[in-house]
Order: sequence, then structure tokens, then C-alpha cells
Amino acid sequence: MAIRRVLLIAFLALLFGGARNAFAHAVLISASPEDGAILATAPSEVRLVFNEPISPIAVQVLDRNGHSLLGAQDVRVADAEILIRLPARMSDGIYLVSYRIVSLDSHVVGGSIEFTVGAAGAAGSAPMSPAAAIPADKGWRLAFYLDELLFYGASFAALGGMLFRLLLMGDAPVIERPVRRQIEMATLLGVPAALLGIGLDGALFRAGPLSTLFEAETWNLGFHSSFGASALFLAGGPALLGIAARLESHWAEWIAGLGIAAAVAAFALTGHAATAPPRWLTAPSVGVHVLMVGFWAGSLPPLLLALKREDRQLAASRLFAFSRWGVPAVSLLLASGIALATVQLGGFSAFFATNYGLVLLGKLLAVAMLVSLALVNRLRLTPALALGKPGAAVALRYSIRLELLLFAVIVLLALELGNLVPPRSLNEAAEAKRTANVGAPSAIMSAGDYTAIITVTPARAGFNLTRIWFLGPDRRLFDPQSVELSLAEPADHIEPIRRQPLRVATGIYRLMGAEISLPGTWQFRLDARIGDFEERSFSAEIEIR
Amino acid sequence: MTKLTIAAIAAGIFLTALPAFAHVTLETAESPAGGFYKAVLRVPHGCAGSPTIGLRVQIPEGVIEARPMPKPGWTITMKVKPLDPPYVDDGLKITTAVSEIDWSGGKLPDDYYDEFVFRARLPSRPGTMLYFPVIQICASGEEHWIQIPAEGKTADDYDNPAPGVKLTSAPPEND
Repeated sequence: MAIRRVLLIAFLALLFGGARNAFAHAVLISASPEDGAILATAPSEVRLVFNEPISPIAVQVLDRNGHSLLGAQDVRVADAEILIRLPARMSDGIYLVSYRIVSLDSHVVGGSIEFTVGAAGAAGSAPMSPAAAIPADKGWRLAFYLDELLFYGASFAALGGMLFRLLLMGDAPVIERPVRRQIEMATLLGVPAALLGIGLDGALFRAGPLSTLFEAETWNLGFHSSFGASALFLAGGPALLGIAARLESHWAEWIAGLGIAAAVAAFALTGHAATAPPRWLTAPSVGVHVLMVGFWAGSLPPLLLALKREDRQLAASRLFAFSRWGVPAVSLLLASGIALATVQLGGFSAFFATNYGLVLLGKLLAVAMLVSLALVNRLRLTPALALGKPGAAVALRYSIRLELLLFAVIVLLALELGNLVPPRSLNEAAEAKRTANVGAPSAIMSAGDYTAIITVTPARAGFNLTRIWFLGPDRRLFDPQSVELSLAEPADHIEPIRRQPLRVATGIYRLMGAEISLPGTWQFRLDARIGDFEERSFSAEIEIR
Repeated sequence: MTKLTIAAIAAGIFLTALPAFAHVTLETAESPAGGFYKAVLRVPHGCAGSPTIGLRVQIPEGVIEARPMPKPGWTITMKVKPLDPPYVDDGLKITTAVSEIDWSGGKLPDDYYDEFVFRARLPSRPGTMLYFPVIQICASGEEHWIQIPAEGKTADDYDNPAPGVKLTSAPPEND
């Protein structure tokens, strides 16, 4: 009964860990003006704040007729913020701000907000379609998606075929050639597909017409994205496996090992795993997960062949051997799956509350069916085949074909998951939003007619973001001639640490760093020179946990 | 007086005098309110090793009849503002006041010392401190000696204090 228990555990493991996920998509935390705002007068700038540093690909502000209002110099980026300077004269009406950015994990994220200037604009005009204003990338996304399917599928086929050859082949003159052909086909399809992916990735970034694909700039962009590095492994892995499959010398096994390592590394290197903390846990987990899935899925076609061409006893012993290897494989799937699940799931409720959760649920359903099939194969059909019961071989062939189909569905859903924002990122964004707007300790300081506002996020010992706003006597943001911030914690004899905050925009400054090294009551002092001969000092105490 | 006490006093004098070596200061720290004051701005060094090539001093509100002493090698310019209400001195109506004196065109190396002198009549506010904010302009960089101590603090609490003079209630000298 041990095997049943193992398969039950495997079932649970796949239920929780099957997803190859995107971890750190950038999410818009706040926009000023807010999405949907109706403003009496036109704003002078638009500010978009994200949960992590980003680089913009395309940022546009469009009027109702779809005309762009921006010049090349109007968009500035500071870490996680995009600042868009608007023209001085904007007529009443509805405006759309659309952005496409690359986040840390190299994923392209797009979105838009709209605002209305003047009440007449809100009442008198039909709302425009935001979809029309965002650059057309759907074709590129689909092309990349299909290409991904091709090279990931090829990777699994080459990886699994090679593992089957090394572990389960034994003496098998009948199926040796077809297994080699599986690896070779995977190489011939997978290598060009992975290389093409570099260009498609670049084209997806640029979202241009078809001719974009034939420009060097596009390939350069794709190569330098985080996909570029993994594409080389995605191509290199199957290439080495293809060579190893043809070689007769004793080098073949070494090259095969290298090829397996490269194919697995390709998955562990992609942006999804690369940006998920803690990396020491997630990257190896993804690698192990992929290796085990590759072994399972890649072994199915050779097993199918064995059932077709080999005699009953040999095929049955092969299936038993596959099941034996299945025990450690499934245990590793369990370990890596739970590790990944722990890292990436923000909470159980996210399963039903988000699109991501629903796709994941769909995927898990497919996994459940897959494991059920495996259970039936292992516990009923394989013993029946060994005993020579009629129809067992045919039933097994159908069952294995169904398993392959389910794997295809699972890979498709896994790719779709990669394009969605995971609940973990949403939670992080919500947390960042909460601390930025409400929870962050702040102080309002005044010196004469002048006011300075300071907030510290997350106000814990360690790395902090300090934000400062200066308001003049007219209650408007203004830039002092110079600003110096000193941080001290007298109780622990920490003398003032002097820093010059970075100017982000008129009257808005920030400091990022680990100056606040321990908990306690920290004294913040701002020396702002407001004229040649005039300085204002602002001070406040902020509690650091 | 024991040797220890003498040593303590000497140390005290030395320590209290120490900041004056580093900052731009006024030579005379106290002067009668309402009287004339010879302001000697002492510049002990440049800005982080860079020579001083200019000095600007702001003449605070209430100080009138400011007149710089000519200084060879330096060009002096003054900014003047209207005085409202005008000041009447012995039947003479004064309607403007110098608000800023600038020395420029000279060069004071970092390891030299120099003084910049002007004379002015102090306001009649005995018992208060009066500050003359100074900008020291160097070949590279500037120092702004403009920090005015808040209530209960002294110049020693600041990195770049403005030079100051205490207005006393002693009868002004006649001149």
C-alpha cells in the first residue's frame, strides 16, 4: 500500500506546486491624477507610482481624438515612478494616459488611466475605448506565446527522451531509434524556436509592425532582456542533447549530462524564478520541478512506443521500472512544489478571488486528472498487462495518450499563468499602497511660514524610503536652494548622519538607504536653504520599529 | 588658585574659542545697542581647501548707515533698499539702507587669513542678538554661514552659524 500513499502524496504535491509562476510583475500603486478623476483645471503633470523599479517602453497621453500630447522630453523616470509633464494648455475633455513598462522580471506590463478636465468634458463626450489607444502588441504576444509552447515542449521532449534513454532504455533494439529521433526532432524544432524567441521578445517590447522583427535593435533588446540569457540555455540544452543522442563515443554521457543541466537551468534562470525571493529556494525548486516533469512527460512517448512494438512482458517490466523511478521523482516534485507554493501563494482565498487563482485552479484540475490516470495505470493496467489480460495494452495506450494531452493543457495553462499577475505581487502592492498612504509614520514640521512633510517607509530598522515635501508660505510645493537631511538617534549615541535627498520633482525629495540601522526614536532634521541668506530647519522625531 | 583650576580655565577658554577658528565670525562679540559698530568679519579658511574669491554679507533689518571699508584688491558693491519709515538722525532724513555688501575680484588662499570690514549703526534693541548672514564664495563651492540659532540654542549647536553680535545696554559712544 506504500505506493498508493506515495501517489496520494504526489497528487497533493502537484495540486500545490504545479505552477511555473511569474513572481514580481510591476503593479501600479497610485496615479495622480487618479484614474477616473474629474478635475476643474488641467494638471501640470501625471505621476504613476509602481511597486518596484521599472523602465518604460512607451508612455502616451492621448486626447479624445487619439492625438498624442507628449514630446520626447516629457517623460521622466525615477526608480518606481514615471513623471509625465503635460502641455501648458489642455482643453477641457477626457484624456487617456497609457503606459507600457518592463518590470524587474523583464515582463512587459501595460495599463492606462483616464482623467477628465472640466465638467463639460465629462458630460458631453462619449468615452473612448482605452484598448484602441494602447499600442498593438497582441499579435506579438500571441507569436511569442506559440513560440514558447514550441521551445518549452521541445525542451521537455529532449530532456525526457534523454532521461528515458539513460534510466529506462536497457537493451531495446526496437525502440532505440525512435527515442533517438524524438530527441533529434526536439532539437531541430526547439533550437530555432528558442533563438526566434529572442527576436519575438524584443518585438513584444517594441510593439511595432511586422518589420520590427527584422531590425537589429529588436534582437539587441530581446537579447539583453532577462529572457535573452535563458534563451541561450533553452537553445543550448536541446542542442547538446541532440548531439549526445547521435554520438557513439564515451563522451556522449557527459554531453548528455551537460545538456540536461542546461535545459533545466533555462527554466531556473528565467525571470519568474530569478526575481522571487528567497532565490536560493525558488531557483533550485524550479529546476528540480522541471527535471521531474521532464522525466515524466518525456518518458511517455517512448513508453507508448514500447507498448506498440515490444512484447508484452518487456513493456510491462518497462512500465514497472518507470513506476519505480516515479517514487523518488514524485517525492522531489512534492518537495519542490511545496517550496514554490509556499513562496508564491499569498493566501488560500486567492484561488477563487483572482484570475490567476482561477487559471491555477484549472491547471490543478488537469493535474488531478493526470495523477488519477497514473494511479489507474500503475495499480490496474500495468499488472493486467503483466498478467496478459486482453485489452490491457490498448487501454494503456489510450491512457498514456490522454496523459500527454493533459500535459499539453498543463503547459498551456502554465504559460498563461506567466502572463498574469500572481496574488503574491498583488498582496505586495496592496501592502506597499497601505504603508505608503496610511501606515507610514509621518511628521508635519513647520518653520515660520514654511512647512515640510516627511514620511518613512516601512519605518523598520534597515532599508527605508524617506520622502519629503516642501511647502512654501503660499502652501505650494517649492524647491529650496539646497536640502540636507540629518538622521540621529541620541539614545544609542548615533551621531547625525548627513545625507542629501534626491530631488524627484518640484518640492518633492526622497532618500533611499539603510541609514536607519536600529530601532528607536530617530531625530530627523531638515536644513533647507530657501534664499541666499535664509535657511529653515525642520525637525521631527519618528519611531522606528 | 590651584594649577588644576588654571588648567581648567585655560582649557575652557581654548575650547570655547575653538569654533571661532573654523567659522566666519565677527571680531567684536558685543556692542552697545543704538551705537555705531565696526564689524570685522574674520575669514579663517576657504571652502574645503578652495581659495575664497568673494564674500557677501546681509545687513539685517534695523541696521542703518552701513559703510564698507575699502579693501585693496577687492571690488565692493552694495545693494540698497528703501527705508520705510525713514530714519531721522539730527534732523537728517535717511530714506535708504544698505541691505547687502559684496566683496569680489580678490583671492584669499585657503591657508591665509583676512578680514572684511564695514561700519554701521546698530538698532536700539538692547539684550538681543543680531546676526549678519554671510555667504563665502570660493573658486570651487560656497559656504553659507547663515544659520540663526533657534530659541534656547547657541551658534555652537550649528554647523554653519551666521556671525552675530550681542546688543548691550551700555550707553553708546558719541561720535
